[in-house]
Amino acid sequence: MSYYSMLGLSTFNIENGFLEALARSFRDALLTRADYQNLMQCERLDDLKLHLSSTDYGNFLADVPGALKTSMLEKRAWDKLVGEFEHMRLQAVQPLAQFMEYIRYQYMIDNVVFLITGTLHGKDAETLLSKCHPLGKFDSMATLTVATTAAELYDYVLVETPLAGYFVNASLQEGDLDEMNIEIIRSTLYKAYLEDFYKFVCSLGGVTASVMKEILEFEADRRSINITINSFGTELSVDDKKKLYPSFGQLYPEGIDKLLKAEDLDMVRAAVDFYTPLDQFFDDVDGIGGDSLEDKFIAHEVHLHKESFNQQYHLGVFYSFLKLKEQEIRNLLWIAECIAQNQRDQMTKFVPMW
Amino acid sequence: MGSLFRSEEMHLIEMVVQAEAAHATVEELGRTGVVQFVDLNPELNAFQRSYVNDVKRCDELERKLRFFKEQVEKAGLPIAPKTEAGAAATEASSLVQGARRGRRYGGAGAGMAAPADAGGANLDDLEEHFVELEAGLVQLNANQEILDSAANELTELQCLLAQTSVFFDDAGAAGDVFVSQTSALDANGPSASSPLLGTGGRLGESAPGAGTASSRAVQLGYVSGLLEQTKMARFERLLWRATRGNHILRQCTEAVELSDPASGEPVSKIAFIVFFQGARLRTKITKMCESYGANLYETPDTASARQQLLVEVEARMDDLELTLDSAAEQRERVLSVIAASLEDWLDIVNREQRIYHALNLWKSDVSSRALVARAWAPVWGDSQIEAALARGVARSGASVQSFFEVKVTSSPPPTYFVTNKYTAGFQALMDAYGMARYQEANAGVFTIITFPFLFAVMFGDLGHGALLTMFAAILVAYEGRIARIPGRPEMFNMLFNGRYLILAMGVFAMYAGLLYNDCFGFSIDFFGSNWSRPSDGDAHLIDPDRVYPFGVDPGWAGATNKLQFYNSFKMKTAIIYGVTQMLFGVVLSLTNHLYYGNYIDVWTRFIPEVLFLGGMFGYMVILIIYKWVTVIPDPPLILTVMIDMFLKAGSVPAKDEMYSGQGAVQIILVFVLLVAIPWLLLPKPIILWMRKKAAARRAGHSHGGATEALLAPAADGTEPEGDGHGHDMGEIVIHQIIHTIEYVLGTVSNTASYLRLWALSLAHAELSEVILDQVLFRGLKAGSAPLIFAAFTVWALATVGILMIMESLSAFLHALRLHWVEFLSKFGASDGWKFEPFNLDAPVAAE
Repeated sequence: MSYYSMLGLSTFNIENGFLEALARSFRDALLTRADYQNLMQCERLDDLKLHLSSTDYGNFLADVPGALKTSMLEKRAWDKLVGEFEHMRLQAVQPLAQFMEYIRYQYMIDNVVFLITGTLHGKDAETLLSKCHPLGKFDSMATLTVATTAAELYDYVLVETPLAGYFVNASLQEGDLDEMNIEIIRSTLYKAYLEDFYKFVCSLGGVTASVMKEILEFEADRRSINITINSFGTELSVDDKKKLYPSFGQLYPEGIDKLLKAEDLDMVRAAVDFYTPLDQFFDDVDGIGGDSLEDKFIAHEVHLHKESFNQQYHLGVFYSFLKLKEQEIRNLLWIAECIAQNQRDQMTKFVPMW
Repeated sequence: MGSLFRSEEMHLIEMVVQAEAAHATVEELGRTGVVQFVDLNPELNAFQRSYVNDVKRCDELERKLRFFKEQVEKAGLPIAPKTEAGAAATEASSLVQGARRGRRYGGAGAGMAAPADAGGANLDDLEEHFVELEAGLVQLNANQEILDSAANELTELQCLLAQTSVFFDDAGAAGDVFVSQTSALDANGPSASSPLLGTGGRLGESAPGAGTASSRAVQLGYVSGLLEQTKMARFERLLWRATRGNHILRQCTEAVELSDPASGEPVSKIAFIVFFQGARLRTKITKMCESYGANLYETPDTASARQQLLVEVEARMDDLELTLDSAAEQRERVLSVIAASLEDWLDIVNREQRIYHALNLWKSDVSSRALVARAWAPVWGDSQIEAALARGVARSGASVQSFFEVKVTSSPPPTYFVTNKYTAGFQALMDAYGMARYQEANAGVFTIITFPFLFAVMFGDLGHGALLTMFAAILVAYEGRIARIPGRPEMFNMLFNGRYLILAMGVFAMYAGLLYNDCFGFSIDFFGSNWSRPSDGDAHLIDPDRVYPFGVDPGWAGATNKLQFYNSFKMKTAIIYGVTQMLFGVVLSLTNHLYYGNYIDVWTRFIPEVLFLGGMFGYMVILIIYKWVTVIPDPPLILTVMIDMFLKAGSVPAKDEMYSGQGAVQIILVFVLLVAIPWLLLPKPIILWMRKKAAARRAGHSHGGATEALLAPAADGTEPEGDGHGHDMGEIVIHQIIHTIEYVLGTVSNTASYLRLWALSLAHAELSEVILDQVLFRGLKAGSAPLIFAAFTVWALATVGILMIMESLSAFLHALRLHWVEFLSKFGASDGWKFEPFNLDAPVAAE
């Protein structure tokens, strides 16, 4: 049964028209190329504040006492974005509401991993909690700091969250939480999450499915490649690795098999050689081009999200709006950091959107 | 000052001011409110401008003021209204005043005194003062928070102590069971856990031997504290999962209401106590409590120890309350000082910020220490500007005199109408559609009469008009008092701003109601009806030579053909009003052509337009009036006369005959109409094209400069600000075609559009009559008091709801449309831009 496939065009607006208009208006409020140009000319962070006040960000920094810090900028920007997202989420009806819940899950996973890592390093629970991603906050989050083993983690906290299902399927090996385990937990959770989300958007059908499938498949491929590259030189067995790769996407299954066997970048390159656009990302990556590869991934992701706005009557715009905004905040932070640390020559290295 | 008919004559002036005098000059100019600065640095970003730091400083001051305001509001102190002196006096004097006041009251506020340097008071002093105040407030708040949280802790402990006794008793009762269940699990109790059921204990030092009945030393630990009520259920579930059910959680049924010391939000907390076993569980549970933000307190497990602690807590509580009171008093003192002058400060900072924003539009002269500013100003404002410049120099003590000169520019000047509180509403109505082009005929002037008139034609009813007038009269009478009410609702504000408009509409509606002889749906016999309607015979005129002196004879009321009569009358008057207004609009276009010197437009636009409109509907109006005033046996329908005039041009069928010579007149008219269309369409593009060619030839002969040749004809083109680029021949032709089609079709459709006057007027009259007949009269006929009362209520509500509110809104909108579209399109270009002078005394819109 597909929700929006048959009558999508005629019935979409009944339930989601207003929210889609909101999402599109938020997208229109993204900083323009001219804005970025202006921002880059700023001498100090206060100038940044002044310029941002003439954009959609408005007076979001007006009540900050004293000199502006980048952390404050990030916090306020996220607060604003989360406010917009929650504003829409709280008005959404099914299946959009569920769709937007799904978007939040990934931030929850991030928070879970962040809190466990932080606790492991003996950081104060209070500070850790304040640094958690606002979009992925859930009620029993604070208790995460109590857990010391993966099983406890599940029993105490996650069983009550929507992430519980991902944990059960992940069939984690017993053992204490250490760096490696946490990374694996993150990857398994993320894999389970992506697969679930993928299944969900497929069940929605219509334009939503076609747009979101492309985005999620790319996300899956990107994760597979990243896991492969990051696992070079670790003692992760092929079988273990296999559990971390999402079971969909362009690369699945043949490409994944090749990736499993890859031991250096060239083999990864060979593995993705038959898949556009993935092969292009490796075109001029020489040796250890991890950074620039990541940049290319992000640029392509931004491209996909922009494309998503070119289609009408689908839920993908809500995901794309958030992701574009998120990238914009990252760009802003990059510029702000460059200004703060006086690294003006590095400043252009953000991912432009328009 | 000029008239409202043409907007004020404006010119662009350039001022040169010594840098030192700039601030004072801007302030003086802002007080006169006759200049609108032009941005001389459009290429610069907001943060690259010269006075950006001052703007930022004002932002910071505003932030501080917002903080003060928040604090004052939180404390529930009234904020003193803006003092007259603060609003009117100069910055310096009001500041001194503010500072003095600050000092006077601040003397009590322990080191919060304002800087005393009254002579050099300026923004710097204010800033310094604010910084001190803010630091003091933050300090006080921090202290308050510490005190509050201490007080909260004591309250919590107090409540915990008072309520835990139940838990301990419970545990004692359940102890036997509990112990027998858990004893197997309990090996040897770690020292950390306190022996609840044994004798004595870690905290129960005062009461050895006060333990419960059980003699077996089961080591049960417990943790007690308070948790927010909303988190309780989740906490309970977590505990259960973490201990696998091996715990006892007791919570109290009553919640304690506290306020969060940091945010001041109210929270309700519940006291709880968890009994458990084993040291590992203790750390785990403690951690969980912490992660849930529960405050843990150690409670003695004996009643007497608890009692003792309770007494102690109460004593400490009393001490703390004293401290709290004095802290609150101190805080209130400081805040009341702030509250007294907060509005004045806001005003000063606001003014300063606007001054600096204006200064950011200025350009600094590179060569000298002077600033250059350009501004639009009405010509009559020169002397004021001169005086303001002089005052600015005098106040700042600059050595060089400022001066200004008039600049010649090609950009169109702004449109500036000087209105008063009566005309402002009408002008705003027309400006809402489009700002009139600089110095073109202003529709706003005529709107003052025509708008209420057309409204009244639709809304004509003596009673309803009187109600409307009364409503507006109240608004007008109490305008001073109403204007001072802060935070008026938006809808009401709209009505309030249009109070004079509504007043005029009401008065005109009464007038139209008299003409229609309509008052709440019935007619009034003012002068004695000319009709006699005996009950046993036909109605007949009493005196055939007498005419009812004013309005419609009340004899028509109740006549069977009343509707036909009103229909014909209102339809015809609607057409007459419409054609008159449109013809007047076309005449106004003539005044525009003459004023701008576009003589070509007089010949190629105005004359064919007048001929077309006059020849078709002007003739119809004449026929209507002729038919009214002449006795024609078996009069023809005017509609058929008009149709036959075109379809059977040249011959007049016998049934259409109204006067002799009709055929000749009509054939001439049809000929004129047919000529007017190509006349409107063709000559103007041809003339322009020929001029252009001639100019090109001339230019080619003299310089051979192609660019100049292209530019030349634009000088006398139709657009007053001819820039030469848009005057492509094709564009002119297309423009003319569009205009012709629009005008020719518009003549018919616009005239038809005026029929809405008839339709709405009829609807209004019918509706009020129906409501009167069906509700009020029926109720009256029924004769019983409650029924009459009910009928009157329904009638009154319907009159206000349907006729006064809905009908007046619709009549208003239709009148508005007739002015915007049918009237304005005949002459207005409406492509001007509004003159918005820099005025420091005008209220600022909240950003």
